[in-house]
Amino acid sequence: MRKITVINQKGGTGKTTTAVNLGAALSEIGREVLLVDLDPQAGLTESLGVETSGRPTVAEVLTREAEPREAFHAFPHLTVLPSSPVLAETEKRILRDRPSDYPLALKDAMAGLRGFDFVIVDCPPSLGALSLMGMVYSGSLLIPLQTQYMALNGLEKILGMVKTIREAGFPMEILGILPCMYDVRTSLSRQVEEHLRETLRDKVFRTVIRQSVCLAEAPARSKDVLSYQPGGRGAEDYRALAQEVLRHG
Amino acid sequence: MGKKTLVPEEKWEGLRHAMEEAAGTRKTSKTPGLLPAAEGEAAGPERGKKRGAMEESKKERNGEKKKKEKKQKKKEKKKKKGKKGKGKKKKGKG
Repeated sequence: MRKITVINQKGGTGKTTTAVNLGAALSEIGREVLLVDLDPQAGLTESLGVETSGRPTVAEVLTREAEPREAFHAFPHLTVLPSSPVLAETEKRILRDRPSDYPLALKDAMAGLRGFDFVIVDCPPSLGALSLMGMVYSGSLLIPLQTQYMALNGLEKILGMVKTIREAGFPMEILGILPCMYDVRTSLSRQVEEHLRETLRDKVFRTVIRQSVCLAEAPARSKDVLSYQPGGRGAEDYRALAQEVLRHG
Repeated sequence: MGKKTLVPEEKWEGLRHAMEEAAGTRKTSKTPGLLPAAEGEAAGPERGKKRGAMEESKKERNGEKKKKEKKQKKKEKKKKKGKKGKGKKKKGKG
């Protein structure tokens, strides 16, 4: 079971889009995928149209009030562990109840989980307790990065946090940095992508997620981009990313 | 016309360092751009310590000097007194 955490403390970088569509692309080729929404804003949950009222979510799973399978919403080859705004309160509660080992909360809650080829965790846009739980659970990070100047500052912060977590004794690898919202028409996009590859070499995915309207439109129809526009640019890019992730092992 | 650089080179250098540290390929966490002190060349804090030590030794040396001077004065006084004493003892023995 390959676990991947999609993280970037900056909002609007393409975390949820990447988690949903990478998951969809992997499930399209027959892999069993679990998507974990670890964001209290529940963007992933909403973008796939998962209804959570009256049902347990990841918040109850983290506090061990529910088993993960009780909270699952299943699609063909794709299962969602949804989130809800309650998760914000749950985060505080976990910090209060488990001050010394809260980073292990998700790992503990998901221990013994079987039956999936991939588990993809979507983190909130912060480097807080929930993101830390997601990082420690998978130990493997996918960092979507806008090909813009300000995004580079955020990347340095994440890398600093990775170093801190590794030094605290948790295994941690950077699966790759994914250039997102790439606009071939702007020289900034081209320069950032070019320099990223020169500087970070094999830590940058060969796949680039190009700017595409269909990526923004698909969640409005409660669909992933592969179902919404199967022949579109977005679907093409995420299929390429799925192949690259598979090659990575 | 040459290509306009939109992101400064230092930014990329900082990222390279951060990635090396995150990946564990760089052991130290020194500030980018600060080179380690060359062998045999004293680093800042040590230099400070030495300076402090020098000051202390100066004080010690000054103190020793004063003590030595005092001791010499005492010896001189004793010699003067001792000569008198020794003479008296010799007289007593014979």
